[in-house]
Amino acid sequence: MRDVYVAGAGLTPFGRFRGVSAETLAMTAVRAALADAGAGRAEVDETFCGSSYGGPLIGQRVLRALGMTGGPVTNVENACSSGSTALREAVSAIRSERSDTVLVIGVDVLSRFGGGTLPLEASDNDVNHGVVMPAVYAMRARRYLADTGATRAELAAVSVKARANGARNPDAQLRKPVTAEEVLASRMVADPLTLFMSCPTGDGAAALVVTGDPELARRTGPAVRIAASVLQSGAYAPGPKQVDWSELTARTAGLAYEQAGLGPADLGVVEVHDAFAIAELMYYEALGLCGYGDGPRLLASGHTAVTGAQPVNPGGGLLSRGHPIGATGVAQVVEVTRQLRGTAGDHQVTNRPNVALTQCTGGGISGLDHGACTVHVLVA
Amino acid sequence: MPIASATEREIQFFPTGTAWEDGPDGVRLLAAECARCGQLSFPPTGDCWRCGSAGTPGALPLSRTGTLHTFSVVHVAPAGFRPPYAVGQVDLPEGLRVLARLEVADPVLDEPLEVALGVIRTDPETVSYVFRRPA
Repeated sequence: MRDVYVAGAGLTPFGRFRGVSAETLAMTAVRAALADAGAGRAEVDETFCGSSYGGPLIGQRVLRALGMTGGPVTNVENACSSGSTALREAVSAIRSERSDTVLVIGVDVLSRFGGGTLPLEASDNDVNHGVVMPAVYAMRARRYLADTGATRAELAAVSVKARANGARNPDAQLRKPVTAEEVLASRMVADPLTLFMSCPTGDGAAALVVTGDPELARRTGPAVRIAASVLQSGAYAPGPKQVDWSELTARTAGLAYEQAGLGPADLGVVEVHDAFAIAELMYYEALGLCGYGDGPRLLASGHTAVTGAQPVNPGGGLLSRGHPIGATGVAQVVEVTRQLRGTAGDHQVTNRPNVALTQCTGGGISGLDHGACTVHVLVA
Repeated sequence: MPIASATEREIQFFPTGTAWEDGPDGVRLLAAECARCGQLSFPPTGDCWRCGSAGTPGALPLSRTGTLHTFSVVHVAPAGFRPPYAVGQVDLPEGLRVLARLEVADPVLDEPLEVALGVIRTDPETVSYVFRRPA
């Protein structure tokens, strides 16, 4: 099975852009990724486009705008893992030698839904009882606080780090630093999660040129190899399971570590799915960066800061960079690719990482931890 | 909150069926029960998630009281719902964890709650199971 590389990466700023279409955003990201790879359009063998709310044939609409039509296009919907699932499909297409070079796009425009909660699947029993994504995470947070002794201030500290990192990331949606007091005082969304503990809804696109061609992989920068690409779904359980431990993330990460032949101690930079502040703490633990309940201490020690030994979400994560759903999984890989290549600019981590991990998870349907989780490991 | 009228829409479960029965001693949730292995599910999964047996035809009335495992008070709600309202996960003795609306002021973790019926949505007006403090 041949090696697969990220040859190029690009993204748009994330934010609320009234009247800007998904096609326009995605075109910008694709052009940037192709330029970053030094790749010509003719080198693309097929395309996967991840989007949750982009509508039918979003990939074809984007490629039509780019004048790149006729090739195989697959649109991928997997809630918050849409973009990362699109990447997994690209990896698979290259490993199987069906394609040499694949374009991966992630895009969503969510500002059209206004500022409230996103519409979820209407036939879902939990949704019909008024459950929204913040409530899903809030119920985990409440149990986590009670069982680990963690405090609301320790939840707020996650947002403080995210915003401090976003302040140095020109593409982030929320770039204003906040204090813990401001986080705690912001509007309550689903108790105990406040507004500033929740990722903003918005618009954005990201793209990758993924290849099995070793020359293209090195054409414009050091080769960044995808050492693992794993997707899992939440396992249904009608009875008690530990709500403040992400079984799905732990399971997916375990398979990714096995595929890559390394472990959590080897990671030099990490992107986790911090849709809400509690998520970052739980994902530190589920990824094996620390034990259950030790997340707040790990954060407080500076271990996961941009200057720390294992920086997590150096560009602000979902909390600050934003979460245009389909774009996020791809944006995480754009971020770590730049970190591995040393091209992340003002928010470049200082520990010169060689190994990165991205974890993308989400979507809520009744009875499942989350709908999907994707973990990628990249090695430079 | 009292149930307003008999014309209110009831929650319908996938694939079909209702979630509760009104018995002599009050409302009871109905779990699906696999005919082959006895595994319960609520809401019903359709085929048995444990043994794969097609369909889970049994309907087992569940205990009326459970323990509140976790909850959240929702302040930002979708259209048709009027915040603030509480949602929570209640553990029943049969080994099921039920996600439900709570008609409880200031819920407390691990407190005992009892099943009842209540209006959970205003647009369209919808009745479903809720949990309250035992009378």
